[in-house]
Amino acid sequence: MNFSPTMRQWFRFAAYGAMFWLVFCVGLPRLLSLSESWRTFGAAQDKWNIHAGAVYYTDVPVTRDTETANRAAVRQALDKRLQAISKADTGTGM
Amino acid sequence: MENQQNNDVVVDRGEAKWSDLWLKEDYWAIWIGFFILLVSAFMIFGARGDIEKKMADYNAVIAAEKAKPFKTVELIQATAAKKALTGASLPSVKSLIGITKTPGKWSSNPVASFVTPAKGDQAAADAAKARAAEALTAAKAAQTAAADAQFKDEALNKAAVDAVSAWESADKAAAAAKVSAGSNIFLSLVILGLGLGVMFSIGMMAMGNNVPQFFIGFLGVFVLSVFANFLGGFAPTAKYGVNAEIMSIVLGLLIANTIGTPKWIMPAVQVEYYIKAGLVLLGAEVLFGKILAIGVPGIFVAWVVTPIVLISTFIFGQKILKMPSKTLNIVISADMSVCGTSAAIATAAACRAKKEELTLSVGLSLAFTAIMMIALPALIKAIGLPEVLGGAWIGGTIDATGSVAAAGAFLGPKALQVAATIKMIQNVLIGVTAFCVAMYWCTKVECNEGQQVTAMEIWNRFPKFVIGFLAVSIVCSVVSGNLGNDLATSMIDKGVVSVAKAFRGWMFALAFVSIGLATNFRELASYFKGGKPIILYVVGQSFNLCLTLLMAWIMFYKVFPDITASI
Repeated sequence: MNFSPTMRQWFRFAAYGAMFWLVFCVGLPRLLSLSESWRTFGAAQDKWNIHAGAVYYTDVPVTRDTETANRAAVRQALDKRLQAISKADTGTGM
Repeated sequence: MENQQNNDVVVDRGEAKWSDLWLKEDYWAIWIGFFILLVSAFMIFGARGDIEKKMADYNAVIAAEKAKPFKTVELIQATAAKKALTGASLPSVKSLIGITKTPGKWSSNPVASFVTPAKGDQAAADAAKARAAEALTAAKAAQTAAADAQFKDEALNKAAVDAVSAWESADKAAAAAKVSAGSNIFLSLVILGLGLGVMFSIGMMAMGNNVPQFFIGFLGVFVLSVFANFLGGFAPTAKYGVNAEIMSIVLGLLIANTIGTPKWIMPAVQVEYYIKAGLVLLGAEVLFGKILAIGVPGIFVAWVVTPIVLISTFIFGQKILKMPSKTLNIVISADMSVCGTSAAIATAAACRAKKEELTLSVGLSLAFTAIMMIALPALIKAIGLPEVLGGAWIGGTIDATGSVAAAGAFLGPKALQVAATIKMIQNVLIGVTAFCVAMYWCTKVECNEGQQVTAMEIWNRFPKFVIGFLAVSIVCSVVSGNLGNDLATSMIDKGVVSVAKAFRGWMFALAFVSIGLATNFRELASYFKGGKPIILYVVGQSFNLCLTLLMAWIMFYKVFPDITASI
């Protein structure tokens, strides 16, 4: 059979596209789903609504909550430290 | 020839003139970014008085209700209303963001990416709503009874807590049962494609290009970007970090290297134009106030280790590995040490790296991130590191921001909290990195040895879009700092930033499709010669892993154990 160069290009396009899809989008996920770790990993992403390919922190909704929680933790720790310092000062009669 | 050379690099350059303001794409990227940000700021800040008043009302309710011995209905309602009070929820802003919606996640049914089916049953929704209303009445009655006893009767307090909890559950159930009409994003995609096409065409017209040819080509690039976003939303591959940007490159490469990039699309293959406009928008997300989120330990892990690793890796690449391309070296170093794709884009644009170098860098990062986001949490669990230390290690070492959060979540909520925040602080470094790299290239790399570079020459060589990027970042950071925590969250984080990120995502997708369409596989393969990029990445990442773990341990467990205990 004789195909024109354009037809051959389109065949190549379809073949490479199908190969990529079969390897990365069908085969690899199926292979990975056999692993318990990967299943847990996937479940954690679903639970927290995380896209592992997110480019920036603003693309990860949970970051807003983690930021708030961390700021609260830092404030709490600083308050405790200040209280400890003022207690020590009072103890030494300063 | 010169034109061809300019097309190969991420940023062009020339002698600065006043006419550059309307003739150069660096400035057009800034104008486009500014335009989008100003429109969103105008919409959001126009409603500032209303938002401020409502915020004050909610805060007053929250403060009064917090004094009571249990969580009351009013406290829960005011907290929820305060959380929902955002710039992005204003009708005009909501419509703007709605237009930029990308195809959603899907797994077995591709149509689900574009069409959201109608859901819910009206009778069930009405019944759930009635149950919630009933539970609300009961909760309020129980609260009143407890209040009448001045909250001193333990039995009444306990009854009120139970009634409020029952109402919360009923309210959640009513929200879940709500009937929603189906929708699709086809019309919004058409509007977005035409709108972006017109916006970029204005710049192309001012720069003296053929607008009809650009516009037709742009529609082609946009359709490919939509398709790449659709592929990026495929849930099974998204789980291991494949995103719209990667799919854009793959799609572009596949077309360019099989059937060839159609001639009619070529006028719109404007990598630099889209990347720079996207980076100016990204500036709005680079908020310097974020670096204080986790206090001094976070700053040390993210802002001290990262520059040390970046500079050491670059020196290793130049002196030991003898990397043939300085630009490839710095892009891989920044990608690996800062925050993956976004850092690679900003650095590549700042040092005029070639498209192939950016592609290679992003590809390397994806491959190693996919391995590290599973291997690192597994190792942390195996050796029994504490969650906070594990989270800090993950946050400081895994490249991609999404993968950091995913790996942190794999370990547990504390690890997620620390990992995501460390990465956020590191994300903010990309503004400084881009500026320093641009300055270093202007003053050291792009001049002869021993040559003194004048301020004017630095200005001539400096990629101007970096100024737009930094200006946006500084303005948004200052405004955010002056607004106070609540208003900044509502109007900047959940307002202007929401609009910026929606458009930025599309511009990066357009840029990556263009990169793929203009890249030749053979040229790309030539950059792998001798495996040097892989060696550079592995050595740099190994150093990063050691230094980050050491710094995280010192900071979180030796110097600031009280912060660690509070997390």
